[in-house]
Amino acid sequence: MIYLIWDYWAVLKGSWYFDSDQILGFKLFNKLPIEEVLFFVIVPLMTVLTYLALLKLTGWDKRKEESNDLR
Amino acid sequence: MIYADIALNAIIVAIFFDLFILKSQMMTRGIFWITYALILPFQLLTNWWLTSNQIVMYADSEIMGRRLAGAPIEDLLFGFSMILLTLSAWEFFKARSSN
Repeated sequence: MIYLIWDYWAVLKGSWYFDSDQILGFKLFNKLPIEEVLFFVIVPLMTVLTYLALLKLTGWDKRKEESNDLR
Repeated sequence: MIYADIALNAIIVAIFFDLFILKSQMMTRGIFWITYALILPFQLLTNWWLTSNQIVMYADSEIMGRRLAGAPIEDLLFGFSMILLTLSAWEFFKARSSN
């Protein structure tokens, strides 16, 4: 949700260096291929999912809560 | 600014936000590095696929010249900064919503 702000910043940054050849043709602001926009939605999503899965699997989330209680 | 400058700035901004602004301090946590280690091979795999099929091309004038798995090595800096900022922001907003 609030991610969109820095996602947007990353997309703007991305517009500097991506030259696309084989794309669907939909472009945002006549510049960014739609695939590039989707990339910046999907990658942070996958990053967080990986992180959350690892927290669960390793049990680090419980350890973190305990250390927060001590503060 | 070429890609290298932007990527270098991005990583500095990401580290600064993580440690001092958002104070998530993901970089000090082992779980962050495990997450990154898991994502990195897939980034390299995707980079290789995208560049070997010439779906994405990099202008030689924009990069430092060294490449890894088809993509400029700057891409690793960019990838790292984005993963760090994403997880740092996640922890920041999670902590704020639970207060």
